Amino acid sequence: MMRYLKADLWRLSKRIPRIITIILINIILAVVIIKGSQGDSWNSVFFMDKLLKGFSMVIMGYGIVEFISVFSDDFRAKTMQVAIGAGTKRRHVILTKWTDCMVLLAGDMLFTCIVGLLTGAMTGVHVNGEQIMDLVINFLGNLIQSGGYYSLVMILVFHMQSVMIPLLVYMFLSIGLLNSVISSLFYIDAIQKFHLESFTLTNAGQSFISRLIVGSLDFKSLIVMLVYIAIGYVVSSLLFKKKELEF
Amino acid sequence: MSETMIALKGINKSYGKHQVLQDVNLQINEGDIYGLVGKNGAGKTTIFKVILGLSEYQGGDLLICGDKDKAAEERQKIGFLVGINFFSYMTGRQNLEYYRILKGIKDKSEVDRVLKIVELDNVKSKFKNYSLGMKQRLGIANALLGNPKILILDEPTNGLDPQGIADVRKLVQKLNEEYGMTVVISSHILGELQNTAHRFGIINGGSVAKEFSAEDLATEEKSVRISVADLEKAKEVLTNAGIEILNEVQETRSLEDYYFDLVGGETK
Repeated sequence: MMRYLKADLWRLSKRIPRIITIILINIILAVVIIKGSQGDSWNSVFFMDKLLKGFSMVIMGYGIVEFISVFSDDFRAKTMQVAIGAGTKRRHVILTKWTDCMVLLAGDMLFTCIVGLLTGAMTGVHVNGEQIMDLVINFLGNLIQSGGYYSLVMILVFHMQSVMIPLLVYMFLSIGLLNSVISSLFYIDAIQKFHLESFTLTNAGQSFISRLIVGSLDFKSLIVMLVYIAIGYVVSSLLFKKKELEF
Repeated sequence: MSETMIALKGINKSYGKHQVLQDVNLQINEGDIYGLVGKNGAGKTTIFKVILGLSEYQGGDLLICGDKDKAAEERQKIGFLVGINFFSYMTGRQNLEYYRILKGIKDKSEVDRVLKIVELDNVKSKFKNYSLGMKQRLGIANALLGNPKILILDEPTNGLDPQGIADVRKLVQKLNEEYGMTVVISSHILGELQNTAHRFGIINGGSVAKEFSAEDLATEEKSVRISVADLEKAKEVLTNAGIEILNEVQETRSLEDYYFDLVGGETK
């Protein structure tokens, strides 16, 4: 599995459009921060507010970019088949693809943290340790939440052997559209009494971040997110296990 | 006695009610060049997919290097060309580098070695700019990565010109003779396969209609062709010797002979 992961990350490092998109997103973020710094009241609080808002926006963009990068070329070239033919177990293929997405997303987010903080420093802002910790918490919370989105969408990816519909579902998940639809169901009397609000992936992610920022670990939300990741992996593995793969 | 490299024992496979493989029994021994023959849809590629773990089968046993339970691990000993599986945005060398890492081959010079074998070592362009013949050759290079014990080639001469076809044949024979590779090869070009393989399996309607060796094929021959300078004299000698001439066939040169005489290159 590690060989497949290493090979995939190596080939993704050669994908120029992906790199250009990531750089462009960060240039836009830097420009937004610099423009925001032109008012008199610019300080580290305003800066962090802008950075964190921008951060959650760009993560959606990164999620989509990396999803396409990891899967679209692979399905076109059918290299997954070669990996299986060369002895990679199918469940390891799923795990590798999920890890691909997570490693790339984490790398992109780290890059944005660095770009954001450097841009802030250029505008004369000095962030303190507490603010850095807020950024780290957002980083972790969003990463785990995105891991859940990826894992759920992989059920469709490996079952359908295509990218388009799973990509749409990923977008609906990451912009919170599916969460809004599901949350609206919780207002139905018959369902309301079960208090399921905290069990959606998006709500669990938000709760995990907001509680951690005030210093308490929301263990339940963390477990909910990890359960979503596990469910996605198990269901994908079961569906992919006997899937006929075409050359 | 040579080791059995791949054995399919009573393999069955169906898509719903459509049976695509029916009690397939095949045995490929170490050192064989095994030719798989059959028309489109006969089940050749499905057999390859079963061997490579890309297709589930409903009954029977698959043994790779004698092992039934560790087929996935044993597959690492197989190099294969079944379709063209490369990233269009990378060069041929980069694509092979990707597969070198994926296959866990530590020797970085391996990519150069296989590119040299298929004569693509000087090509710098991206894969999307390759001709069909170059793509096929790159596919063979990928199959050769890591010097596998077994080579599976599904119609490797597809889209190749006559010189390319002859080159693939020479390459397969060289890999078998010099490197001791066991080769399983399918092709629609029967004359070509006859010149390459030691053993044959004819697939028809999802089952193995017949398995035979090149020697078996040779003994099936009912006539002998001889070339003489004076045909009339030869006929007279045969008649005088009491040998009746049953059939007289005027033989013309093959298209392949004609082509190679005209444009150069060699078939053997």
